Amino acid sequence: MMADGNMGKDNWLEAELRAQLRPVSAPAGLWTKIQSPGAVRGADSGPTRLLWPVIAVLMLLASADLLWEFSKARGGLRQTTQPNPAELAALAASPEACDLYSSDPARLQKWVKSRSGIEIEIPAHSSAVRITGARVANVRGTMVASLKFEAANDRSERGTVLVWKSGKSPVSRHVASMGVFGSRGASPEMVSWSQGENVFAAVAAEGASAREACLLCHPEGTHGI
Amino acid sequence: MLLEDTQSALIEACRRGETDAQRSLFNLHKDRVYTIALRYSGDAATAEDVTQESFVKLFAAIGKFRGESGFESWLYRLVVNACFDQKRKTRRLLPLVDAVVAFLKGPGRSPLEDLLQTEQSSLLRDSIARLDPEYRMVVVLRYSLGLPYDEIATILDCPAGTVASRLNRAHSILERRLKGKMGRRLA
Repeated sequence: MMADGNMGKDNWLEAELRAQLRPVSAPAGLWTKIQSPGAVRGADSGPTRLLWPVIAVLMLLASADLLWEFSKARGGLRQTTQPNPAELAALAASPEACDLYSSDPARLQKWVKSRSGIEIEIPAHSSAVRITGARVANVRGTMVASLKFEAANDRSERGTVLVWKSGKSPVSRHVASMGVFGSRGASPEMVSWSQGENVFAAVAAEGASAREACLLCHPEGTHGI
Repeated sequence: MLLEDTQSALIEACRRGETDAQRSLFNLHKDRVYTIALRYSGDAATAEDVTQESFVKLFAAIGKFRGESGFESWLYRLVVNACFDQKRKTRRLLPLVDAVVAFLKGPGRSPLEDLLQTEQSSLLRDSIARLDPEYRMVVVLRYSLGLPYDEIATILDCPAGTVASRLNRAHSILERRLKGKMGRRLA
């Protein structure tokens, strides 16, 4: 046994400590409390201990459900922030030049994807229209790619095809929806449609036809649009 | 020896879940368990909770007691852990009621001596309550139960040298606090 080296050094303090910390008797009735179930506050009782994992799993499921609902709500919000026709028209009419001037469809496709994440397919050659360049802009959080084109006719009519991700699940049909904003001859004319996960809007310069944009991918014709 | 035999028999009976044996074991140790809890926490209600919790845990885990250390050391370790775990809701800053009772009961001394004695006791208890838990527990085990360093070391699962150094440190802190406060008041 180790020698208790402090004895005698601080006699007055030790005597005080012994007096102050002297043993006491436990109060009556403790045994009854021990025997009554749930008497001990904070005791790690069996049933309570077993409940904790169940509670934890339930909390986890509730959190996951909350996150799912939240992400759905965010998705819904994203839909409401889709560019509107006025914004698209302004973007198409923007005096800012293209960020990339090129008539090479493959190069433009690659550039647009790297800047906006949008995947588009432009056929290598079209006898009816010619692509001239591209630009990428952020419209209220939505990345929009602008593809500039001009008709290969003697009037060289110009237009813009705007593309952005719809935020909805990709649809299987080639053209999921199509709508015409404005009427032919109005200024400017706009045609919109969706394909896969992308939404397209063709905006024609004043006096030109937005339907010329269809010739970018469909040089054989515009399906009677 | 007789007590040890009796205790061993009680432990065996407790392992079999015999309530009478549990009660006998409880009666054998309740005062010392309660003393540790009370002197450590400084609060009677907390001490009762700790005592109950310690015995409930003891009877739940008595099947695991293998006798490597003494039964008392094993039991006191449960109490010490319960004390450390206990989140004291009501901290007793000034044991004023005890001081007043002691003052009124104190026989044969002058009122001034009684007052000084009571104040000194109050200061000491307050100083003990403000010690770090590790120091406070060593002081309680040493001066409430009079345990030797080796047994305190077994209970706290630390070397005996650590017990000695904690006790030394606790003495220094208490001495400094008491001398400082008493010195100022008596000056």
